[in-house]
Amino acid sequence: MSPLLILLLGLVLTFGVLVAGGYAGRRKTDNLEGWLVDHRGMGSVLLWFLLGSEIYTAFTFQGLAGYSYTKGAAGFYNVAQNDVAYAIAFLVLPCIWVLGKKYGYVTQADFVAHRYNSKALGVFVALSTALIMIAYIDLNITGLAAIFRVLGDGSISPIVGNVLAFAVLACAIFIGGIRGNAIQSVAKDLLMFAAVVAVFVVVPVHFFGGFGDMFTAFSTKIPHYFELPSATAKDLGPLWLITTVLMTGMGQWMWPQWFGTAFTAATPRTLKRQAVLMPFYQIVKVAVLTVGFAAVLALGTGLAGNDVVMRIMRELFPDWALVLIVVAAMLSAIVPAGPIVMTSASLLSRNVVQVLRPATTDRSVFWLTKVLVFPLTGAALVLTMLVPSLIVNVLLVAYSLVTQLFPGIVIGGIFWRRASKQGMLAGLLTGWVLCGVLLLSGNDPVFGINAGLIALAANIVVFVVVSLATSPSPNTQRFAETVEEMAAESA
Amino acid sequence: MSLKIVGAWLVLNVVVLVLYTVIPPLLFNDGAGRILGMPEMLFWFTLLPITIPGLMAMLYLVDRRLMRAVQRGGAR
Repeated sequence: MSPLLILLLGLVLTFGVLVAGGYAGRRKTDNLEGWLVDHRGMGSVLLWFLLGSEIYTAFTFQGLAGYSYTKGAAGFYNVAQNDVAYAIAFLVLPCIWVLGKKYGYVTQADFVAHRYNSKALGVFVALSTALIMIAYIDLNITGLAAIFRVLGDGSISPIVGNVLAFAVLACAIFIGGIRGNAIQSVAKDLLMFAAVVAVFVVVPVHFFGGFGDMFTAFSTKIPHYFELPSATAKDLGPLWLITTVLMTGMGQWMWPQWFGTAFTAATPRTLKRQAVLMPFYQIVKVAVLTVGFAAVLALGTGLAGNDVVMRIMRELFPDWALVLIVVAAMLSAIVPAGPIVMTSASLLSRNVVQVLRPATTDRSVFWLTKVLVFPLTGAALVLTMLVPSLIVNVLLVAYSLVTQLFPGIVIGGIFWRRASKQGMLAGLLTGWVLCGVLLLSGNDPVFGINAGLIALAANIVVFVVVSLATSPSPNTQRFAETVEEMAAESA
Repeated sequence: MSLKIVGAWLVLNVVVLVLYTVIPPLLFNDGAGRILGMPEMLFWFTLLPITIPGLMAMLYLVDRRLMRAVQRGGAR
């Protein structure tokens, strides 16, 4: 089968999954709450797949193997990061769910604007996080481009493929909303699991003769890849691991699209069950990292890290399996972009347009949000193609930037009633400026410490000091009250 | 009661962070060393994703007991 035919079949099947998922999820999408957070009624199984789909993306499939291939054991940070985030989520997400249901939040900016009694702060957070999220879509577009480049062998232009794929995604989101995305996620996750298991089993057998021989080769031929710091990334040592995992673990739920999944759950207990079960997903990451290590020996060094998995698959698998792998990889790139686009659209319509023009009805906001999906998806594609350097710079600092929301949202939003809007804004700006300066000037890590965590420390100090020096924002409730409501909802 | 809930949660957070970030460089940082045939660090990071859900499940049970106490007598 020619590369062109493999790609075309993969594209058709991918489009089929996107359209079918969008169509299946179309019921219950008659208003913004239904379209965006499924009327806060998503059960454990669908939520598990939705969260899994958003967190385990094209980066997991392609980028993570590239990370262990180029940077060795430092790649394990990504396994640790999510599990620390799930431990944090165990209490934080149910609290956000309780407050969201009580006060009618459907976006992160709703939460900020109400908690700090400041529509201006809500607009500021909405605009800035929407910008960061659009850049984040680039990760997925880059993943898609790698599929066209490596598996397609140049038979379809990556630009044409990306435009087609994201046009279909935009239509599927418009129709199916978050529920449709969750249904697409089931297909995407199952296919991705199958593809990872297949490559994880076939690689040791084909290149080494079995798992035992592969592990022996790891220890004898590339032992320095399994040490911190590894020989290929000398600045990523133990201190970097601790501070990076802490920073990214705290930052994970500050991404507006992941924060928003807290609102989709049926009960707070659903979210606590997710925190217990989600770590099982990490086994997939360990398998992908292992493939990256194996690629060092099987393919040699010097290849583009992001292409390693695709190259191995092209070399090892028959055509019919390659078609399914193409579908899995494409869905891993496309489906996670759905909630990002939806969240960006809702932030702009509900937290910017409706605030600036209060006469806008909820119905108009709902339709504006849906329609905005198309220009936002287009904007992400155009930005990626026209100014890739801008995207690269934003992505470089993106995780560190969203983590700076942690003090204002988690500390001030849930636990500390003394927090003020001035404190949140001052801390946020301090963190963002420090992040920009340190990361864009190439000073990360700083003496082995993740630069984002240094910015977060400065952010927290400023947040506390300025809050204590100003009047507390009134719209808050005691943590004990939140716990009582959580207990009542969990009964 | 809410202090107990936060306390249990914080303990779990610290335990997960230490298991993932402090233990590997201290005890599993010899690339040539092997456990069950695997490089030490790979072994540890394979073990944790199947161990952590057990720890989280323990917190879940503790939390459920505390939540029932809150339902009966309030959070304070």
